[in-house]
Amino acid sequence: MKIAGREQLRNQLRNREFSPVYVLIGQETFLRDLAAKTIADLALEDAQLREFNEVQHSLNESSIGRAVSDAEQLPMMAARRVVTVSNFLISSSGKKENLKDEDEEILVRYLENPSDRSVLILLPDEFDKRRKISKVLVEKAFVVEFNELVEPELTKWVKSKFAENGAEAEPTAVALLIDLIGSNLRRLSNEISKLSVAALPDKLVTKDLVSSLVASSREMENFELTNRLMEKNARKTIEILSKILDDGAEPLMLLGLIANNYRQLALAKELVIQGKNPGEIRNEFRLPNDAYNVMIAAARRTDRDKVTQLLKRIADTDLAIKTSRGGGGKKGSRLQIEMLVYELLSI
Amino acid sequence: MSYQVIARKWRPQTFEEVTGQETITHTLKNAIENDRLHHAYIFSGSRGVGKTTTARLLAKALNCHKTSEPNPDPCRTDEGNACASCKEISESRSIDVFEFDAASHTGVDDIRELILESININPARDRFKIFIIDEVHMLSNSSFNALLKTLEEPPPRVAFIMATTELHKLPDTILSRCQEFLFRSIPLNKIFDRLKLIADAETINISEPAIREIARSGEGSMRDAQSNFDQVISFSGEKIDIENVISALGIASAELLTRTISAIADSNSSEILKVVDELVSRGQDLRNFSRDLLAVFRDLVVVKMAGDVENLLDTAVFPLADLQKLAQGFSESDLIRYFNSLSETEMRLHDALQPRYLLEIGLIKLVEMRRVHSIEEILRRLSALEGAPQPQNHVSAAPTPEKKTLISNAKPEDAPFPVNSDPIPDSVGDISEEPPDFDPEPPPDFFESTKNEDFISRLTANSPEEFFEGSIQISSEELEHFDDNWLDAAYEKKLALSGSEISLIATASEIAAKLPGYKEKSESVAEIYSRSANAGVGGSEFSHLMPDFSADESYDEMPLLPDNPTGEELMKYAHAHPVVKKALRIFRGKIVDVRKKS
Repeated sequence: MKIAGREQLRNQLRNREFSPVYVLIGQETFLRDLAAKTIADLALEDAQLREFNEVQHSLNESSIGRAVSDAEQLPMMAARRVVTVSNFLISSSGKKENLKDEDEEILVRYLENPSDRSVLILLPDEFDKRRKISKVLVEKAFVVEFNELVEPELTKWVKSKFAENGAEAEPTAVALLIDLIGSNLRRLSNEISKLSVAALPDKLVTKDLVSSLVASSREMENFELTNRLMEKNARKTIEILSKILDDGAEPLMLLGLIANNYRQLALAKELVIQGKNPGEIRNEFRLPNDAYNVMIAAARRTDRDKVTQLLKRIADTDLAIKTSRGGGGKKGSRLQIEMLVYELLSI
Repeated sequence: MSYQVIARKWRPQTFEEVTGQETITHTLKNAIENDRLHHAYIFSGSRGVGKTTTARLLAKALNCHKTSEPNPDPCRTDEGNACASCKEISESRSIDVFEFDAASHTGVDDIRELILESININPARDRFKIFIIDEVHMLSNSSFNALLKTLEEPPPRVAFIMATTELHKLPDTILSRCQEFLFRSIPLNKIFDRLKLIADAETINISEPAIREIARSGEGSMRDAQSNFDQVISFSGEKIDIENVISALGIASAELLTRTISAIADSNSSEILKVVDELVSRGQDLRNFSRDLLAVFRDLVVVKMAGDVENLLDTAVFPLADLQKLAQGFSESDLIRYFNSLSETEMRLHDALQPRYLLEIGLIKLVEMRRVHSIEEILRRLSALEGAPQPQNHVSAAPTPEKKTLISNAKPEDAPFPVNSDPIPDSVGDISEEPPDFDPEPPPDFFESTKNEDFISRLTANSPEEFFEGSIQISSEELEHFDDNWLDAAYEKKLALSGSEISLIATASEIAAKLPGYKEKSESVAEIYSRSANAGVGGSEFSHLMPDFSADESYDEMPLLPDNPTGEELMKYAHAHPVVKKALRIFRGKIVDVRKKS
């Protein structure tokens, strides 16, 4: 068998066919968990004693042996038994593993002859396809991969989620929401249910409502800040900066972020001066395309001495924050980092 | 009943009374009315913006006995007929509402004991069992992990309300399981309205400007503003006006800040001294004043850079229009320089024996800074000069970099700079550690007083003609400050060497100042050159600036520059070029990179 997509799983479930073993993998854990729940719901659709026939094992506390022995039991007055196993890794790295070699053997033995009265759902948080156990799973079980949603799927998903919550969202509101949160479906779904409630009784989610109720995700904002700073978009930068600081970000953390960016800028400038070709420079940084383009444009625009001067100023600010210059505490360090950003913008 | 502080006495009793968070309270009310409650909420925001208040209100609304369902308008406890649940919640002793402070119960054992062990027991009397966890970011990692499972699927009839000032300290796994509400800082006018309402209700005789000043002191936090209000009331007598507020809270009034900023804009040092005197006589904390002033500089920069942005302003000392007016007198880099200098002063005030003197000097430094120009500006002027018309006889003879083959055995007077062959004065011997380029004894008329404004306005000139309109001279003050430390240091050193007498430095700016054209436009440049070549009175003015290119200097033949010169060849060419050589000597520079002009 090969690794299937969401659509194949959907088709299979629509026909009420169940594989004895499911392995649900991928980064999009929200959809993955939802799928696990759906499989369990459908498999136990007509079961009268659901509590007796549904078992969940977290390998933090339980073991695969116990899960397998549960799966080998016959269902109690129902067509099937559902056993879900979560919180484990099938990884190549030396990360903490709670699936030991002997556990894998137990699993492989079960896969040879799985019980047809049980549905075993495995939810590994990491799934290295090169591992031996992974290959066995791919061959014997129904493996479904849940990849991160990308546009236009994401917008579609958000819209349908709003509809599910009995609300309608303006297209601009949807776009802003995705901008603010990114593709984290779990957070998106939380925010959507909040927005749908806030939009009552009109049931129309506007852009204003989104911007007043949704706090944007930190990572997005940090990138946004450094990108706008590189572009020298003064107004946007100042707005984002004060938003991040209002959300309680640590000024020193931001300073580190900014310093790192300008360090890269200095490096890029040096490489440009040395006449390295774009491919070589790109390899040096491993940045996403957008961020890379912004940085290279900034590197071409900025003078080498300027960059050095800016780095010195960043170091100065670091010292100023750490020695409580200009009033210590939260307010003082906030002032310092703000003034640094303004200075970076003005040079 | 004993006295209760305003912040507690006037804690909002209904969702409508929660100031400045209308979207959030509206959403929560909607959720209650339409039975769309989430099982876990996170309220985040800075202190005093209504998180705990809203959490308690939500708890009251969920458990209010007045209705059979959760009630979006719970009982007011200041009226007699409040239900038992609402009354107990407001007194923090409800049997089904557990409010605890995570800052003092950080460990996983506390969480087990307080939450996990009791979570499966049904509420004793009320509809919901509610856990209000304040300062939730203080929980340890293992405590958070212990909560994860419960937060994801809590038993029915359990609700979590968590409040935190530092949302970023919460793990994402917790955040994704909760509904997040971000409480924003409360706008000044809303705090003002609320304080006014309280003042009226408590029949306190207070003027509106005084209330505004108190509201401002809260910096977006209602509780801070109310505590300050308490402080002012106990400090003042019957009638409260703005003076009482300023002295009670030790804040700098808008008036003093305006005066300081205007004094800096007008270069009025005596006004600065008066302001500091006033501060001292009022017994105000000078460090606080500097911080307030720093915040104003910050706001001025914001206004300058971002324009029309009321929500980004921090201090609220001044309305936006006033700030815009004040900002007109400054450039962004001015303000940033002031900020950096003042924050230095602020830090030193901390352990100063005489804080007054330090602040005076610190502020006067800002006034002086206004006259200072950065080295970039001066260099820009110098390069503008390079493009200025050159005397005919020199241009024809001067080697230009564009030419590819040159024999640089030109005589000194053929060089683009007039060179004097006078030997270095004897006095140099006294300061032998100094390079002999300087003449420590300047002609007495070297620096004449100048009109700085004139100079500044010329910097923005559109054309060289405009630039040279009338006469320009640069004063020593203008040359005093440089952004580069080593220049500063060099200058200081030079000053020390020549004692209290006004001294001379040979820097780019000075040379620029002494170049023809700065002096007098009416006098043709050629004339000045000829005068200097004649080593007359006028010529001696330049003599000390110019390097000595007398006999010991050998002029090698310039290397030939091929069509596509390599870096090395270019470097060699540059080193041999007479103009470059002179420049190197004058500026004591070195060649870093040579590139061909395309």
